[in-house]
Amino acid sequence: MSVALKSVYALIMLFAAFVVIGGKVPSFGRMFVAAEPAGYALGDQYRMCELDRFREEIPVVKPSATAPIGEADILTLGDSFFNSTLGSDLFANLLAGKTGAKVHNLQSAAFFEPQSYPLAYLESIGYRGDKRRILVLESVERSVLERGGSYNAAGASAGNDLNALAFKLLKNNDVEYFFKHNLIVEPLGRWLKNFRFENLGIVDKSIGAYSSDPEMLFYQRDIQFGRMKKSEAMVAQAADSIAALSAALKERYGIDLVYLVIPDKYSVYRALAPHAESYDGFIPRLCAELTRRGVKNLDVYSLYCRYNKPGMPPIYYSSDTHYTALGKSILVDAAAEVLQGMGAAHPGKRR
Amino acid sequence: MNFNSIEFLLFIPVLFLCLYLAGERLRWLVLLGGSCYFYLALKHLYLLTALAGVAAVSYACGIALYNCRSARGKTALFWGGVAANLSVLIGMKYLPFLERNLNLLLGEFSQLPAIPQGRVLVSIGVSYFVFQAVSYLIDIYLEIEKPERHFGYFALYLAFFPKLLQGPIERGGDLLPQLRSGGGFNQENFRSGLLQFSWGLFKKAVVADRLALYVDTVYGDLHAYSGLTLLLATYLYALQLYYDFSGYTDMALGTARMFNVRLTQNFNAPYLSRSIAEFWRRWHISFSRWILDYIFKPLQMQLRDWRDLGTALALLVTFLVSGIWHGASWCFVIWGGLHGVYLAASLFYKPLQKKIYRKLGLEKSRVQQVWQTAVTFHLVCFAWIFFRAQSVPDALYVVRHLFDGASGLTELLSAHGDTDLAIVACSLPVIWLVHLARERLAAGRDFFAAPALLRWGVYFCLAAGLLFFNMDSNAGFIYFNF
Repeated sequence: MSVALKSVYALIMLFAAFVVIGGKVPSFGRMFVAAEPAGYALGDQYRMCELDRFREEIPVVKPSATAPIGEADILTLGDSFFNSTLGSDLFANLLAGKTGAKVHNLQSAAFFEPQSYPLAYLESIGYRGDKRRILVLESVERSVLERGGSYNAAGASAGNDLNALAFKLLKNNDVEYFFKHNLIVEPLGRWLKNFRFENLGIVDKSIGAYSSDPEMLFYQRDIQFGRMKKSEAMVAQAADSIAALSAALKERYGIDLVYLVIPDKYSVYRALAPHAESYDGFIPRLCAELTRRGVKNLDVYSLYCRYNKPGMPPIYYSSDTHYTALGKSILVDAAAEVLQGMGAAHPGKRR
Repeated sequence: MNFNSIEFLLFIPVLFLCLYLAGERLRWLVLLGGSCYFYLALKHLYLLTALAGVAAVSYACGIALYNCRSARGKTALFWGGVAANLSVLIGMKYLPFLERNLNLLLGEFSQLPAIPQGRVLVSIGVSYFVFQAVSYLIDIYLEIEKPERHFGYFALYLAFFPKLLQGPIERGGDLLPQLRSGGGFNQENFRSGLLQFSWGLFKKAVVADRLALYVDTVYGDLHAYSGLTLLLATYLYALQLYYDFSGYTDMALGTARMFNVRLTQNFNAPYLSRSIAEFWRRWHISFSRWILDYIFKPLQMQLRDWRDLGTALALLVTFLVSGIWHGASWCFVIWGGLHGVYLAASLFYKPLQKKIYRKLGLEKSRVQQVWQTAVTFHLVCFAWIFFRAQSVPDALYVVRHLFDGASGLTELLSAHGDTDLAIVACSLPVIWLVHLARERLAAGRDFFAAPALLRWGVYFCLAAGLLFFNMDSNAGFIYFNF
């Protein structure tokens, strides 16, 4: 074997070792990763496909602290929509400003998906039903059916069983991230992705569809969920599960539930995606079932459709799965109205 | 860990680095540790526990069987070992299916309370290493092989990562000596292994995953389609499954080759078969050999007095087992049953078939070959409907509507863009050409002795194909589920 070939093999092995160390030791890895932009964020969908044409700089707001849980009148719990600070402050803080009530946003890094296991999560933090509160529980549309199965189940905090420990030791997202974003591979990868898009029309698989005018990326999982047939039985089952959660929250903690399903971007802007089928009315159907079961809810899909008119500013970012500041503020206004109806809002105390 | 993941592409050089640092004496330990890590990366600790359990039981049983002098003791040990291994497989893969069906029966015919449903476990790889363990015990019981005395090598035989998740199912006699021999870094094995791995990746990432777009769209929402669209989706599924599984096998064989191990070839142009029997000699070869040697042959011996009827029955049972091995669902049982029926029926109609060909003057003609290949392919495709459908009613829907118009065809073809269609259409002849070239190479020609221009042309095209046309989907392999 020639010296040149030996050197190539040695370089490959060393590069692999470098990537593993860079991924697993962040302080080392950070030296070889392009710096994150300051003052703005790049959309999550842009990060998936890295197509320059869809790059947008999204302003990020430094979140202010939400009210302490003991003082709160309203609790919010949700996925990335409720924890997003793109364009404006946290949903909980905007809601507090709108209603004048004290709002606490439930969040946890130690508990796996508290928004999927609200009962187990409240139990894990030793929540006491010392006063009547309202919980605004949010889920993105594509996860509702899945979460329907977990709302009343026991949750798993990270680290309380062997599987979770193994998961933590073995998850290599950090290594994969470092491989893709280190100073050597990142520019090559981005060039390749843009070359494939411009010349062959190929986009990363996580992007299921896109529109060029106006520019808009659609997440593959949203499209899959949009195309999935959701039978009446499936909708009823999800509603049953949410109703059971609502009853359990009331009984155990004296909490009144308000349930919000935030539509996938694809559901609202599907007209921009090529070959999109018409909306199957999942959110309105679920809301009707919830109302029938006495669970307070908000049909965010119908709400957003009213604002999705030509010439109006977008409700979602074109390169991100989340809502814009406008989308968030529309939701805050509507949620405040519902809460006012439940006697939780104090308009006089508005911030 | 998927072969088509970045994680795996980093895992291989790191493993080589560890091998280099550890030296030849600890090769088995590094490979075993690497294999355990590879399996653990699926993030289900109980899978490794099951593997360790099967390895310990089979290792101990193997030695005890070899040392046992009494025939009764031997039989008891053998069946004990086989039962222990199979109980792991049944417990992890079939219990929910059994519980579900027992509850259905109980609900139908009695007032007894339903059996509580257990947790559904992930069983990736379990059926493969259990089958290997069983074959190891059978070979020792029949005194074909001697037991492995070194537990490390034995555990590595079951756990060797290139074939752990999806086969090939290796016999102890083939694999253990290779694991023991080692041999250090071998440039020739490394480059052929790398080439085969890349070729497998091309089949998976460029062709199979692209075909999946069309197949999944149709089979994910069957009732929106009918006739020609269902037919097309079924043909495409036949191709997808083949390129997915043979792509995986190429990657497994290539990876093993890099570590100086030659695994069993699992495919040999199966869709060119002229009979179902030939199909099973060309499709998932290591599995076909396993069921032939360890299920069909013993059964046929037992039923030999019934002549053709006995053979037919043995075939039927063997392929029903094959169906169940693929998954705990009635769809797989029907799929296996269909292949059993095809093979059993062929025993009886073969003489008649010969007569017809002779009368028509087609015997051994090109027309006969093409006709037989086409019929076999369609019989296989028909059975794939049950293999792919998510439930028996879904499969029956496809069967009932196969010749019922062509609804959804235009939408299907336009939904995924022209580029995907063009890439699939161009890739299929390329794969065919490579198959022909590989057949020639197998006949004694060495690719690496070809002119540098040709070799580098191939490397360049393969790398360009992978970089520019891969699907980026990191999708799992279909046979992981089995």
